[in-house]
Amino acid sequence: MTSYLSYLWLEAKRQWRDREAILFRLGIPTAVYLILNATAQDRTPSSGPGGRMVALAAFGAVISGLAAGPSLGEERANGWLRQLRVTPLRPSAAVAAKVAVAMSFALPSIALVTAMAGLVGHSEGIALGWARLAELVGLMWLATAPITAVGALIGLTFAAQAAQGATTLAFVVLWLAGGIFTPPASMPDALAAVARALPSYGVVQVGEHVTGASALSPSALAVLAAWIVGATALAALAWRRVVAR
Amino acid sequence: MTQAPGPIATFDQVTRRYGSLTALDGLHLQIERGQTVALLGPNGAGKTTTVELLLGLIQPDAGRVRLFGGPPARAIATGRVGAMLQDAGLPQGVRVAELIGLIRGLYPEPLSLADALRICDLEDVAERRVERVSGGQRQRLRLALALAGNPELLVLDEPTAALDVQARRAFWQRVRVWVAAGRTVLFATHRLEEADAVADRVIVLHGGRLVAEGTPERMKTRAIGQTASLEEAFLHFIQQGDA
Repeated sequence: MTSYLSYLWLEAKRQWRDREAILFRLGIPTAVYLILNATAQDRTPSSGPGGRMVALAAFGAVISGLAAGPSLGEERANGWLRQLRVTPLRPSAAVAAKVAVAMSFALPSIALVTAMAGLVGHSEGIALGWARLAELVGLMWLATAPITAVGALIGLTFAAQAAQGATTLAFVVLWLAGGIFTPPASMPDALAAVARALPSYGVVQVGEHVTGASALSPSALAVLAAWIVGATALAALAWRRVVAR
Repeated sequence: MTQAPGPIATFDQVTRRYGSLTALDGLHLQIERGQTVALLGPNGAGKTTTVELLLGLIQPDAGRVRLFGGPPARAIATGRVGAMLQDAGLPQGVRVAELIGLIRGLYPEPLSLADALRICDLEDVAERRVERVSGGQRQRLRLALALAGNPELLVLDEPTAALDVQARRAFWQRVRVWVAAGRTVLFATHRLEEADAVADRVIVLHGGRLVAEGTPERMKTRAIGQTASLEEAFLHFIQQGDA
């Protein structure tokens, strides 16, 4: 346990030192929120009051949550994970640390967007107290867990460049087809069905439940549960393939 | 550290295949405590396969590998082994001292950070990030990671492949200092001069089989019945192996 924690600490330090990572995972969602909010000229979004906040918080959750993919793929390709396998550290600790650090980025990413919304979000009709906003952050953050599992799965399935490409693809799919900026209700039926089955829409729905834009359906929770179970199981299988050569 | 009697490592009729290629063919081998053993052979002889089996990174198709009297994974998990793999990468964004510190923390009786840095001549770059050190420093850092846990057995797979002559000599000087305390080293190499200068026992692999073993001196005399160079002896054994 101690050795896992020291590995986690090192992993956290190295990723939090990476200014580009901080800019992308924390800066971009907040900046896009502020820009959209400023240019929308006091119009409430079609997805209801707080719709922009929830969308950009989910956007930050997706960027941060998928972070484990490329770095895991790279460390598998360059042999660092093999080096860890000849130390007493349980090598699966490296995977767990990636997921934990991805979660450590998702929390402030969601929180920053929400904090900005708390300050200037009245223009999109937000009338929530800080306590409700904190609840929004906490619940959306928990809902991010399935996305971090997808990141780990990508990193364990694809090596280096391919993991980078697969992460970008997953990001674009979750962003465009995942119900973040376009609600499924405004999509063609087939695409809407896809959107409702993606974990990013689960994150959005958890957020909309707190803002009161829509009630949380059991199916949304089922989708999130299915993704975390499915992606974790597949990641475990991929891990066994990595270890047993 | 417990000083159990018997060999540190045993290969008992070990075979490992990759598809239709037999990388290791019924290898029988023992490594005794306190030895510095060179695993010598041309490319494709089965050196890396032997190292990977010894470390439990791969499993044999037939036969059995024991390390410290048990399965390799247990010896690794209890911190009795340090290894420098061929071309193993390093994570980015970490400082040299931090990385050594991490590895130290995983072992029961590690070297002090100061000793690990000093032995590997990394004191000047201790606070530098791993991606900003030179190629030679990188290689020394990889040695430091293998030594940091102060393991009973040190395993090195082609450790000097990327080094120039001077750096290579300094590298083995460092390993010798470390070995002087009665620890065991197994290293794979295709450089005869390294086996000759560093090892007190040489194991020659060719085509996945053990074709000769002994002290460098004995191998030289045994090969052709007179004192030859290790190079002549090596070629002799390999040609015999092909016959």
